[in-house]
Amino acid sequence: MMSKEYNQMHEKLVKSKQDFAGMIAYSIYKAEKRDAIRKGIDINEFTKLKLQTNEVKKYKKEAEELVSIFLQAAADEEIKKIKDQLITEVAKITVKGLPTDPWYKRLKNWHNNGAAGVVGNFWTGAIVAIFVWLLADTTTWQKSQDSAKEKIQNIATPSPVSGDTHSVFNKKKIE
Amino acid sequence: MSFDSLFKTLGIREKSLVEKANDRIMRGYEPSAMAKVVVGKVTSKKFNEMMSAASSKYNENREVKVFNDE
Repeated sequence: MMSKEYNQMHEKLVKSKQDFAGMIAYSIYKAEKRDAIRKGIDINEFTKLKLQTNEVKKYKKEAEELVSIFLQAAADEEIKKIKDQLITEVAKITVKGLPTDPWYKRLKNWHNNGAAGVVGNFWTGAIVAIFVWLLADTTTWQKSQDSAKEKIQNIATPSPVSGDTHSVFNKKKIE
Repeated sequence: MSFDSLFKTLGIREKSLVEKANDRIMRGYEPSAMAKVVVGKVTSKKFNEMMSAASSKYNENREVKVFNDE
């Protein structure tokens, strides 16, 4: 059977079943009481001291502060979420709003970056051809031209002597 | 440690607002100026009213009621 003698701290701190702040104050009191018991403090003296009006007020104030800090922490969480969303949206708008370069600048960028390999090979070939044209005599230049023409013709119409009996060109000739 | 708390620790499952707020306080939280303005002055009366409204709303569509005398 429950003892009829108990301290009135709950009644002092919690005014009704809807007094949530009072319940938090009572939790703070109970945590302190537990610490006091663990430290070996005389619990009757502790309770007598805590039942004083100024101590009860102190618990209520602490509860209000705890509620306040908790609500502020929740608010900061929501603020952070909204800030992150705003940053994402602003970044999207900024990227969309950036001015696009005119066609000649984009061509220059494409020439210098995107197709650098292909364009580089073309220019290397052109420079080699210029050197041959400048340094070689007329006969050698003519030979180079003939050789290049022959290569291009071979690519367009491969010779049947090459032995590729399955090529499309050979089939056409056979037909 | 439950699977729920394990997933939340690993960041696989998102923590609730209460858990996030609690984590902040446990780490030694200092409220921002904006949060102070948003929350304003909190009194026991205001908090009790807020909790009553919140618990009524929670109990509306749940079988297990909280802070309910019935």
